[in-house]
Amino acid sequence: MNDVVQVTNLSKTYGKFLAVKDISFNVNNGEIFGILGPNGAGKTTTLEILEGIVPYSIGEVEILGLNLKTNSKKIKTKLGIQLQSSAYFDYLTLSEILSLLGSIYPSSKSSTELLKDVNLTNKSNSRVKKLSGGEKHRFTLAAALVNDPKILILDEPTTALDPNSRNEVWDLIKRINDNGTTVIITTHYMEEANFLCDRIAIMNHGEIITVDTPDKLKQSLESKNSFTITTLNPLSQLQKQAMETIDPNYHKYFDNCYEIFIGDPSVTFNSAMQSLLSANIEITKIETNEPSLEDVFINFTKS
Amino acid sequence: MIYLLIANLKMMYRNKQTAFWALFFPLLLVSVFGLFNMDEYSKSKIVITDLSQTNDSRQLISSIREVKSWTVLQILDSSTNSLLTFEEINADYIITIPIGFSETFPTLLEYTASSNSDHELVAATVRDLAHNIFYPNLPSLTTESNIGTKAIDYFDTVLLGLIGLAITTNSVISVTIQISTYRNQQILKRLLATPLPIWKFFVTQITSHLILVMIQTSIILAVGIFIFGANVTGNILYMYLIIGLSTIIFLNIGFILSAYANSPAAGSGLGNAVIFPMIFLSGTFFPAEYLPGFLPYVSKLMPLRPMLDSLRDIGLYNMSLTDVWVPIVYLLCWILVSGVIANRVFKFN
Repeated sequence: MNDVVQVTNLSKTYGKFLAVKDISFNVNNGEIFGILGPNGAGKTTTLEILEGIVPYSIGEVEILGLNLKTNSKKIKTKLGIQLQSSAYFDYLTLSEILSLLGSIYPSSKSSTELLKDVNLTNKSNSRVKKLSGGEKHRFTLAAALVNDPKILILDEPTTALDPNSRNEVWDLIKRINDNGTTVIITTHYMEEANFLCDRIAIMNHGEIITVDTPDKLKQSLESKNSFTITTLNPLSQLQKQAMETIDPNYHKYFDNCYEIFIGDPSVTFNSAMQSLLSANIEITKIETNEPSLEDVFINFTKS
Repeated sequence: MIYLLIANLKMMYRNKQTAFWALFFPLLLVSVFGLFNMDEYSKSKIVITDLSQTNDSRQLISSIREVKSWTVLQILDSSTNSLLTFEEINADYIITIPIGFSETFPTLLEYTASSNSDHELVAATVRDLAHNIFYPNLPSLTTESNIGTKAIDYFDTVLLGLIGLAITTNSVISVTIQISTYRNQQILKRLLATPLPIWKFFVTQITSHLILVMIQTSIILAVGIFIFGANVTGNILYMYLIIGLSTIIFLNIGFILSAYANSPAAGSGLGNAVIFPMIFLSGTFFPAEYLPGFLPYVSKLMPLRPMLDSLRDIGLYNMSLTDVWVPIVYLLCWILVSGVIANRVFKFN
């Protein structure tokens, strides 16, 4: 079975508000699938439908070959869930919370093993409120793994974390995925999506605009073809005029640093370089600018 | 489900607020009512003015002193009585024995308006005592026989009222706050994402609270009976049954209120707004029959009233379950209605 999640023409309304509009996508077995989108795009609603928390209005959802509407309870035994902002029982220790959650599932991993996996063994008798931000996020991952899930669903797993803690959580997610667990993740962070995801769906206004690998999404921005040059000396007026023949709207970072955008399809990188050299511009450094995932995101969601 | 139940009990045990409201606060009230002698307070305060100063008048005074439900504050004579007013002597009754008491009648009984309801009883007793002095050889018009019913005092009655108060407070307020906290922190949503059936969640919540209530009741009863000498002699198992049924109703009310509480603070406010009128209108501290106007009828509509009525009938008057079948049916109806409403309005999200 290659597709572990198959969503077809799914819609969800809250009263008159259409939160999810006729979306279709699939998640392959063993991949990390990201859902990227601005606030209110419908990412969390989509995840909560998959988690069986929110009922859906129209469409079909199949998870691990089972219809979600008719097999919700069975599907829940195979999903690991981390909600966007979820606390845990204040008066239980980490170990007790994991044992309690584990007791709900037909089979579960031991709390000792789970805490070891997320490097929180020494905190097993602590309460959640005593943990740091990074530790809390790692603990929520442990809680999501309590039933040794086939699919792990993470809703913005690194929000409000410092860079070090974020890296720790990323490594953990990669490790979980390497062990064969399919991961579905929503995030605001392009860097996170780029680092973690095998494929990304970009959502906006309840619709999925595109689904592809990060590389292919970036390549899809063909028009984004620019390079930055650093020159030995500040440019003269004549040299600037030569640069304008390539890009009339070139961007000046400093007196000796410029970004040039090749918008004309008839102009190649080689011909652009020849124009600059023939104007006696002494280039000390040149960088080609790849479109980033952020460019892709802005391009798809700016409307 | 057992693990969820144990976890609930652990959380209750570790939550200091639960311990305070469930145990310390009711025990504090039990101690206050136990130490405060309400029966002494309810005795009629009497001042006697003896203008006669004869053996007969002294015999009457002696007889008056023996009446257990009266407290003789002062005995005045002709030199002092005219100087004092009712307010100054702080009495409910002034009994004036006139000059020439042996020959002339009647003895004068004055009473304050506040003790109006008892004055006929006091007047009859004074008349009877005076009659015995003048006609000692006449046969008594009444005979007395103790048929074995023990005396039930205010503390006995209020002790069972305090159990009702403790259960109501603990069940309604703690559940409303707890569930709204769980909802705010997305703990309920997290549970909804697991395969845990919703009914198991409710059953463990209700069971853990029932266990707490039984412990709570046992401690309150033990303190009331063994430390403050309450006379609760009814069938304890019947009492626990009534308490169990009532707890389910109050928990259901808590579940209903939690559906409308957006935050724990709102939950606390809602809970208090519901339970405090119920506590005062249902006869927790004083008989609900004495409420003014239509309030006794309102009182009968509340679930705490049949609970307290049946609990007192069983605990204080040794009645059986069949004797209190009407309030039990009423409690069962409340369980059904509140359960259906709770099931309809309860929200995990």
